[in-house]
Amino acid sequence: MSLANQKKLIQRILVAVDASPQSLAALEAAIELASKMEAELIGIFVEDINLLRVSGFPFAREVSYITPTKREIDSPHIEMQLRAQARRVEHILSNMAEQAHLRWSFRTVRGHISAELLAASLDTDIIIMGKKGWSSGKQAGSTTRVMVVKSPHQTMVLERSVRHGYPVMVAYENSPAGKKALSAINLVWDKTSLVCVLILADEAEEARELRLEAQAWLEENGISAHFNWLPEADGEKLARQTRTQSCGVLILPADSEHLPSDTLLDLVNNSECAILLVR
Amino acid sequence: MTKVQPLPSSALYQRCNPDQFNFQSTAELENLFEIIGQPRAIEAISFGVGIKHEGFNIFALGPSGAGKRSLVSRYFEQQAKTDATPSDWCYVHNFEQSHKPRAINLPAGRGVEFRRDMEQLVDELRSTLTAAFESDEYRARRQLLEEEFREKQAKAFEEIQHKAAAVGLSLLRTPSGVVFAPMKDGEVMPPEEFQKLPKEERQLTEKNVEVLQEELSNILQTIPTWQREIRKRVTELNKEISGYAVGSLLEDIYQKYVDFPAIQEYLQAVKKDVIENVKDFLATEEGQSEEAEGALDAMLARTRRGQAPLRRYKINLLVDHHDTQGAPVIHLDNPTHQNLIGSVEHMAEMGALVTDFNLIKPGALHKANGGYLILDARKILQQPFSWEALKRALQSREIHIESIAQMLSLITTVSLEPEPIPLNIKVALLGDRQLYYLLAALDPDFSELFKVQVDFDEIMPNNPEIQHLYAQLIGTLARKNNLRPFDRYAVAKVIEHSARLVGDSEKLTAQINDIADLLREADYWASQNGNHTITEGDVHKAIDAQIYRADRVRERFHENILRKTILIDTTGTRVGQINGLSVIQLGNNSFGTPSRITARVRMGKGELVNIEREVELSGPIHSKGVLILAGFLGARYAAEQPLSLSASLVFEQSYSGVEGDSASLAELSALLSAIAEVPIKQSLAVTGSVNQHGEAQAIGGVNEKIEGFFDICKKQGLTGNQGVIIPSSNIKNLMLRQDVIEAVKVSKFHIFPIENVDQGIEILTGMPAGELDENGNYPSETINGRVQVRLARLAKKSKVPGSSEEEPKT
Repeated sequence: MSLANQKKLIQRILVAVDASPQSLAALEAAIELASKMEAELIGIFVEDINLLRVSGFPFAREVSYITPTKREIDSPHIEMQLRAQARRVEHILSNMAEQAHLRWSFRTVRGHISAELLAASLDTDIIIMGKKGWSSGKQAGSTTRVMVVKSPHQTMVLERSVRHGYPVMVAYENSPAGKKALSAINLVWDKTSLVCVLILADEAEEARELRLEAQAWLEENGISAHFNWLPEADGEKLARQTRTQSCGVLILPADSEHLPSDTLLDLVNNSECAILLVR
Repeated sequence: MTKVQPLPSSALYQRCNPDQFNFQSTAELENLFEIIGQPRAIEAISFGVGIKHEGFNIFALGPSGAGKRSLVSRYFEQQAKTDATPSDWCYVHNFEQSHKPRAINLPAGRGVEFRRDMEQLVDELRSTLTAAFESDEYRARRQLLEEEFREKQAKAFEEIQHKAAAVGLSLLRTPSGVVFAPMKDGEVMPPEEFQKLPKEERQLTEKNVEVLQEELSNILQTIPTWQREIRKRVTELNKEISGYAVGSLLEDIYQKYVDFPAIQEYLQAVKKDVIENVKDFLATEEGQSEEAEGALDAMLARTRRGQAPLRRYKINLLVDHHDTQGAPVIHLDNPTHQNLIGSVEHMAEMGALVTDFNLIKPGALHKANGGYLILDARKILQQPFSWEALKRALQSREIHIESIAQMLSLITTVSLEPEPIPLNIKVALLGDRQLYYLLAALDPDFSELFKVQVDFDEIMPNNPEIQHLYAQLIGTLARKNNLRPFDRYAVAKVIEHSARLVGDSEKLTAQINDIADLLREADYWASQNGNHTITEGDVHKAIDAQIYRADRVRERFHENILRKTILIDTTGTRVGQINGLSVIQLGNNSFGTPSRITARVRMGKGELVNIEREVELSGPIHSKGVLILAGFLGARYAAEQPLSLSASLVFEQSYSGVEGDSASLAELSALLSAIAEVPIKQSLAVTGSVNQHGEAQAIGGVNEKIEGFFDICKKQGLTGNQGVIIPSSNIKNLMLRQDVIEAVKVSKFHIFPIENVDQGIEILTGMPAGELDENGNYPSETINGRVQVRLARLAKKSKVPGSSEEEPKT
């Protein structure tokens, strides 16, 4: 699929922002993609209903990260903090979007984060979000896990800004999603990056055919690449491969037989690069 | 008494004979490289340059245009060629006290090399350290440390999350912290539902939350300690990696400068600093690693403060002699404090003024150190603080760079105290004589610091040998100024004008600038006249044009005389009235003009009233001259009787001050005329001073005075009786205008040289002065006799009580 066709498919880009450093990296990536696709950018900030509920407990105490002291919290206080965060991210988004001359909008909704994002993503063509948000620990946050598995559209998760000039890796298989994944290279390829195609096939013969197919498409689009056959797709192994090759973006077919949900989650948890799930 | 004869025309002008020159034009002459007519100055400069002791700096004094600068420069440059080339000096960063940069010296030419070596070292350090810190080994070790921290932190949080989950709680992130909340079906339990739980269950939950909060607080308190620990270990790792890289790179430069302990010491400090601040090197590469990314922020922050980090390893080569042959000779035309001593400049960074050792700028003392410095004395005295700074440097034999603004607390910003640099220099000040004597009188340090006086004369002898050299000088100046050559008649005319400038037929001016100006102007007129060689006529025209341009005031004066606004008679006779002569100096031009002097006498008590003095228009020398007259009168005519005379003397129509004693001869003559009641010829004018014995003494400006009176007489009509009486000692000064000489030649005008007042009064009155006989009396029909009789009569009357009537007016 050519870039022009891709532009038709990607007209509305949803970016989830919660003011965490990772969500700001997601915003940066969304701005870049929206510029490339000439698409509309929609920012969404979800006021987590769970946080608002917490203030209803008489025993609820907030422990500060900086000064480990405990303070009482109440609903108006939490609401005010969330509003302030929303205003801040809206300000950042508007500045960046206007600098890039993009059409943009921003909305704040209240509810469960995953549910609200899923609902919002229905009207858009791709959602871009930070891998962990404010969650601590190494693993992807619960919202990311839900979106990876349940999002109806393309989803990009990342934990830092997309590194330009670094290799783009794409998993290709014999399925419509596989073909979509291959053509999604146009979304992120900047003409200087190496492209590495990971062939997902059980048999060598199938892998060879897939490689030829992919090669033909890539050559048609002026992209040179090298190929790796993965007879067995294992999340951790794939993640290790992205690290050793200093991968910038990994493009995966989301509904692949070779990449069940657990594998995808493993991959998301263990990779450092941006992951674009194509559906 | 012998009758005074007027001077022949040949005595009025000392011609320079063009036929003595064996050239047609100055184009045939070689250039003149020596200074002429300054033997004393040449000997003094020779001594001053040669002597090496402290304080033997030079003050070249004399009129402007005497060739002070060129003589001093020439001797300095000659000596400098044989002197050793002094050291290069550079300032480097002081790693212990950054506000006190260190000075390092190196043999001439090696400063550039050292600077290049350090630049290369920094470049190599940058690439080597970047490579080292981007190596897989370093990354792996660094990541391991960071991973260790992250895992430790994540594990702590995971543990507490597990503990929370085990009791039905979850850890939630709020915008400003974390909270624990009871969960149900993967979300926070609605509070109202929680309230419906049994009391025991609620209490248990609350207790669990409290325990977990406490535990979380403990973990959060521990995190900074873990971070510090990790940072420390990362720093140790960085030191290990950078120490190895730096050590090998520095070894070469160590070996190269092994003979320079100061550089060895500096390189040790550099090594230590590089290891401690390795991030600065990585920061200049574009965020290639996490190390660099972190350092980039640091660098930006430091740049904002005006401290681009790698600037501190630069070498500020203050004095570079790599292309200097011998010692330097520096002329400083604008001796401001900072041009002389050097300065520490500042840069504006984010609204603040910042500086570092790279912004230390050298002054002339730095550049001339080990050599010679030439300064204009007046200019350095006019520049605030420069004179004091020069003296301080010469006294301490060190150059301390100090900021005036900071010295005076005009600005309060970060500044430096650069290490002083030892000073070994010979300074020559150029100035006029008055300045030299003022400094010698008023500045006690001056005589200690400028012991060699190079005194330039304003004049030189006018003899054939000098005239030949003068011709050569004219040729040289013509060539240097791209002028046409001068023919020998023009040269002779220039030499004659030179004598006229100093008002002495036996001398020539040493103020070559005036001569150079005349040459340029003559060249202009030659071009106007279409001459390829400058002729006598062109020089003449240049002189006349110079006079005409400056002649407006003289014309007004003379016009006023001719229109009888100022009363001057050039015919007839008057008792007690005489034409005196004065010179008016306006800028570079001076001219003479006659002034009427009158004397009135009456009986009195010996007072001689100088009316100018009474109204404070008389200068001290003029007043002295008038008092001398009283001395003369008393001694000659009233030695044994009271001087019962009251006389008044005045310069008529004088509205400004009168100074000088050149009118005293005229005043005495007027006084004698008034006492003796003998009229004075108004066709004559008198100049000259007189002493108590009545002897005529030389005065200045004799040419201008004669010409001034001649011009008036000429305009009123030359009768053949007109002339000027001058002291005979002024004959040598005569260099009169051609039209005066022509008039004298045809006896239309006369110059009378006299030895004493008696000769003068005889010419003025036509009556003999009279000589004292053996009885102490003068013959009755002489001036002196009449004066004696009149004074005796007055003395006698004054003895009669009540006799106070005024004597008949004269």
